[in-house]
Amino acid sequence: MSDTMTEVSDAQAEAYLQSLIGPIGEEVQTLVELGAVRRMALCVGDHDPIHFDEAAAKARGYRGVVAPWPLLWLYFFTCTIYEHDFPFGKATVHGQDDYDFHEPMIVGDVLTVSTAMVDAKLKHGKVGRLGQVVSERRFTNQRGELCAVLRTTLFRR
Amino acid sequence: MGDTQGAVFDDIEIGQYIPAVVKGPMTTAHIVRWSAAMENWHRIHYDWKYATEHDGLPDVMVNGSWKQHVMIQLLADWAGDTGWAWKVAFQFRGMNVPGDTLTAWGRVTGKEQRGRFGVVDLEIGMLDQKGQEGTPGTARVVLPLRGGPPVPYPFDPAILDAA
Repeated sequence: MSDTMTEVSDAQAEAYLQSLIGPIGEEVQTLVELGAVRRMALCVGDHDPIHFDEAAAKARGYRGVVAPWPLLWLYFFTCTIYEHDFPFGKATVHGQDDYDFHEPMIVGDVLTVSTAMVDAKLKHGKVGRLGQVVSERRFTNQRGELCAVLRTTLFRR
Repeated sequence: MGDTQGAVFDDIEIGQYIPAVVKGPMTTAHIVRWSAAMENWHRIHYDWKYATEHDGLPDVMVNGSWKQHVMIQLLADWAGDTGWAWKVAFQFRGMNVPGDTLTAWGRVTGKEQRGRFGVVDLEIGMLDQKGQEGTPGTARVVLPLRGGPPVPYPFDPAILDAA
């Protein structure tokens, strides 16, 4: 949808945003793969052996090869719904990310990813009407341990 | 956690900078490798014509999540195996393009001993070669006390309230 701002009232935009609050899609399970972990560490030049070498990782107290935290974004793009069909505005801007980290993601782990919209509001600023939505993804391993929480803020303007 | 000693809470002073991490100059190869690693196929990251003509950008864009990784690397290197980078938040305020050299930095803004551990707050960011800030943020890192146990994982914030 690409209606102009005159076609969707503030009340309608607000109602749409409020309708987004709550779970998004089903929980998804995904395997933490060695190739994905190595590729991500290599491409940012993070040569800490905990991302490559199981023995080195275990010697430092980890359960196995450790995934770089931004591997969460692989699961974001491949396992979750992240686009919204906003009925107002012309562009969606990625504004902010917040992470909480609790338990390392280890190669061989099976993660359960759950997604929910936790906040959505309509604002008015210097550049006009702005929708702000905050989605939250929780990543839990097969041991029931919460690995990380990723909150992403998008602006619709 | 392992025994690679990172920062110790007792040594931390408010206002101090932690060791920076410098990356670059960035190339399109960096950007495409990262896009492939995370399967982010937004065309602004690899299609110069689309990025510049359709979206009006100056060039293809360095991925925001790549910049986040570097800043998490900054915190993890500083905390070592004995500490824990607990919370990180970033805002995307500036664009970075091939040719940029990026410096991730952090400065201590607060510290508090809680139970058997120390909690350190930082402001963080990433400067380009012109000194322009594009990714300001905040972080909270948990560190061991001198002579104390390493921060355990899974990291449960309740340990900070334990006697």
